[in-house]
Amino acid sequence: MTLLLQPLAVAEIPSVQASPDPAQVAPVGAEAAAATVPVPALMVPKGHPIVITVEAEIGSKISQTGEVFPIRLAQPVVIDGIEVLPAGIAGEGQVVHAKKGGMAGAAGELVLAARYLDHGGRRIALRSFKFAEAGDEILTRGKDNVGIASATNAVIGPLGFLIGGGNTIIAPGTAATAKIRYDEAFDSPDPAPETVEPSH
Amino acid sequence: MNKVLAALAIAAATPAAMIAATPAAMAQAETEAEFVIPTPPAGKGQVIFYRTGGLSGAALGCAVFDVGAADKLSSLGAGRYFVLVSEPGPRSFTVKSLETKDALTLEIEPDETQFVRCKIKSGFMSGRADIAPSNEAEFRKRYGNPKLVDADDMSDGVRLANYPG
Repeated sequence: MTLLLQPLAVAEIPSVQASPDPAQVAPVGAEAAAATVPVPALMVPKGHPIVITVEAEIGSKISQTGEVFPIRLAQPVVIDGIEVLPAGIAGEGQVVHAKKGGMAGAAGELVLAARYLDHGGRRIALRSFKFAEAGDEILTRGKDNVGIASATNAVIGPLGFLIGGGNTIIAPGTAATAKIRYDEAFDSPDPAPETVEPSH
Repeated sequence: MNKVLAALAIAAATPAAMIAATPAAMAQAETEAEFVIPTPPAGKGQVIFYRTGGLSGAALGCAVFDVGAADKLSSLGAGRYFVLVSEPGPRSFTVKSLETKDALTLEIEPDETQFVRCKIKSGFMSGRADIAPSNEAEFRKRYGNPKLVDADDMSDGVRLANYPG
């Protein structure tokens, strides 16, 4: 059924174009052309990865769940060779989960989210915060001393419970990645005006 | 005398049997090293809950619940994992043990995989389950032999994602 409908729909297009309603004919002129021809937009697709930095000290011991913190775009977002989001614009992240290191070696925990970047008053929503961790580094967690605490308990009794876990501290400037949450369209820059040679 | 000879024969054959078995074991290890993390369904996120093997609390399960839910999502035995497919958004999990409970909130992101590790730490009377955020590198490093939780130890929704069909 679909196959039958598609050619019909295509066939109707030339007939509409061939006999336009005179009342709807667009006026001729530069202004009209500007009004009817859309400016091609630069699209940053949802899920586009970006690099940001955390701009405040946060940590499993010093931060609270729900707390917001400043972030900054570390690298410009460039689409088709045109910079649409400059490096340095600020935004906000949020602490999703923070828990201090506890008894028996339990490590402190810190889960963060990137919320938005502010670009001239326009909020660019973000998602998928992830630390740029290297090697065995796990910045969402402090040092885990559960093994040491368990071993201490086994050897010398319940003193192992007094061994605390480490807390994680995120220093300002720590790099992370995030993603653009929704498709974001940006106006293309106006083309450079043509220079007219003065006639002599 | 015959028993002694039989024991000697077994002792002599054991290294050969171990050597013969080695390629298979290595192949298995290679296969296990190629553990492929499943892709979440379009628009959904997923969390891989895992528990490393080890003697500490080996006999105890690490039962994972949604906060406030009566029924567990699944229970992690030593060296086991399961995948939770979820709608995006914040979601809080808890693990319960005799002495205490631990909770963790994650922001589930569409098309992303997150990792949560469960560990049994020492308690006064019994082990205490502890869940913490992890990452893929740690999962792969600490968990070279992924074994899925048995189907009968999962909730219906979790079972459907882990044992499709």
